[in-house]
Amino acid sequence: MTTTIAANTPAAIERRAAWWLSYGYALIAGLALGHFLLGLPVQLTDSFGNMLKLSASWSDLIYGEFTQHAYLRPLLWANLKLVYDLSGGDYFTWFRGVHVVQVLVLAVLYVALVRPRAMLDAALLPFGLAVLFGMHTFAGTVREAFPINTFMTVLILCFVAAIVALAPYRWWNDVIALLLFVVAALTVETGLLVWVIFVGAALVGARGVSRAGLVGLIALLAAYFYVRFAVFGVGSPGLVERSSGFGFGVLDPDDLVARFGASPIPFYLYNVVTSAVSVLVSEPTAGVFRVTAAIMRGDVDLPMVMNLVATISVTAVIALFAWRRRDAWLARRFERDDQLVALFAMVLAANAVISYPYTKDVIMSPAGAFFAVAGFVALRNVLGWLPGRISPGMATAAIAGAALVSATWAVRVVGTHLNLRTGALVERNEWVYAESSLAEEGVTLTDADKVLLRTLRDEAIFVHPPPPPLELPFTALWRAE
Amino acid sequence: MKVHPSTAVAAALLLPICLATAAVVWVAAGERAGAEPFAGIVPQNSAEAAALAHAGDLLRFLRLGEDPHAVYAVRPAVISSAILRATTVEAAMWSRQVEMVKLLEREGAIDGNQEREALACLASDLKIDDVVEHLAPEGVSGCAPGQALARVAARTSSVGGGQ
Repeated sequence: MTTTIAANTPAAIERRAAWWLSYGYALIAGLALGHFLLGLPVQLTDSFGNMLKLSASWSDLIYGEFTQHAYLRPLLWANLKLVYDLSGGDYFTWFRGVHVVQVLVLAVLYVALVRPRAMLDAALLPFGLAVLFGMHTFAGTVREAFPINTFMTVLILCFVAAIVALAPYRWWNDVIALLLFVVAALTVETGLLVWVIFVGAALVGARGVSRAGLVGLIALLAAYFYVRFAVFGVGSPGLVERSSGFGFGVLDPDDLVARFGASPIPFYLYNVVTSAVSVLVSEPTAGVFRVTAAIMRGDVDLPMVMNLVATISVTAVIALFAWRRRDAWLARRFERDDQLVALFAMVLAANAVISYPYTKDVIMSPAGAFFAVAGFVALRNVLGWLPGRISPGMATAAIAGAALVSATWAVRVVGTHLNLRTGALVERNEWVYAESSLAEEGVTLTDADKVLLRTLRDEAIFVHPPPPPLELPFTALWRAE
Repeated sequence: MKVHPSTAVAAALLLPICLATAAVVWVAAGERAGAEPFAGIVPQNSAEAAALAHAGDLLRFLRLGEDPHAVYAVRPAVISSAILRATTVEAAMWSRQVEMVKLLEREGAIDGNQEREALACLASDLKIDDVVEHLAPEGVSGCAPGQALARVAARTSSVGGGQ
């Protein structure tokens, strides 16, 4: 009886409405993004080479990961192999389908993490999701695939970890925490952030995982490094692994070795610092100071300015929230929103450290995703602190500023979709020239490899022709995308 | 009724993003329903695909049986209002990409020295140096400047002959 009354109070009704509106909006936004994802074929770059390896046996595939240099990602391959085997040759449906499901799951988890409690929260949720989908660090999680995007997998695991860490304690939370860590850490290196989330949440008062669970996580992290470095000697990526942004350009591995081979520490420090700054400011991106270079050349364009305004505005709101809450934090009184903002700071720092070998926007995608979480919770608190009466001038300025910032994020989130549509054509063109480009690279294909190549090419060109290119009004807004 | 400032600011934050999301959802739902809202130029034949450098579409049209030497109608937005009829191999020159020419060669659409020379002349008129070099490594000698381009343009004013 009490429950019935409580459920029908205005506050409870508002809470339910906010819940439905938020999840409904997230699903619609996720489905729309999923539609654009389905316009992409299975890619030649990054995907075809990986798929050639998937015909190997499970044991060869996974054991091989423990005996190679630089990367330890056995569950990435297990994940790919599972979908590859389940697909029965219908690669587009399965790999693209998984990607769409991942986007939907991520959108739903975002709502679960930020917990809209009132209609004001529900009204701010589109802004939060726009930050999530519009961040430059997010683009790589949808535009690329291997042919499953492992960075997207890690985003999902990180959000699940945060939800479990901030939940009331249940004995199975410990089991979930340990499993999440193992799966994430053995999928891709940024999966180690799951550990940071569980331990970081405990440091700011979250009790979702018990002390025993945390000890187990610490033991697993130690075991991970022991196995990686001492048992299998996998090591970590060196300067020769891939190109990386530096200053105003991109350095190839040979250039990196020539410049930093004797002492790579300054280069690693550069990567850590610029990776963190990139999330907070959107400059540099992938280690390259493009906007700064444009300012020096005197040819800054509107999309560049909008990107900076969008990101710096959210950073400013998070900073304002942290400043206003500093006394409570120093007294170690953390509410859920404090914990989420603190988690963002910890994920940002740890993610930047993990990015030390080379810079790539998508590696910072977990920090970018938590930036969207922190931005949302900071914003709802900052709005809540606004006094009921302010001068007309102040009110006008606040409304105009909010509309401007919202417009910049609207452009960015549309840009994410347009980027996918452009990719739909680019990827198909790559398939047309696949045989000649692989031959030019000196790649020799077996008969079975050629069958797979033709299957994927035919799927991309004949079975799933490209969706139409889009011509939106105000195209200059997306020139830099 | 006075609106609380936080409500007004939230509305200002909500509106632009909801409009953007509505546009994206409109495109997605429209395309699922078979419409093409905000669609740009979609090639309608192999000549248009070649001119737009849509390699995948070009290959698809050719595999569907289109003749790369037949003259097709080309919409003004694809090349220009002066070139409204062209063969697929001719239209490929307007892509300004040597890869398109190589693709047509791979598909057996460019055969014989005479055709290569005619296309090299057209590429020369369009000042696409890498295509000229690819089609006529020894250089173009037998074509009067502007003649190949004029020949293609002349079809625009003629009636019939296209598909």
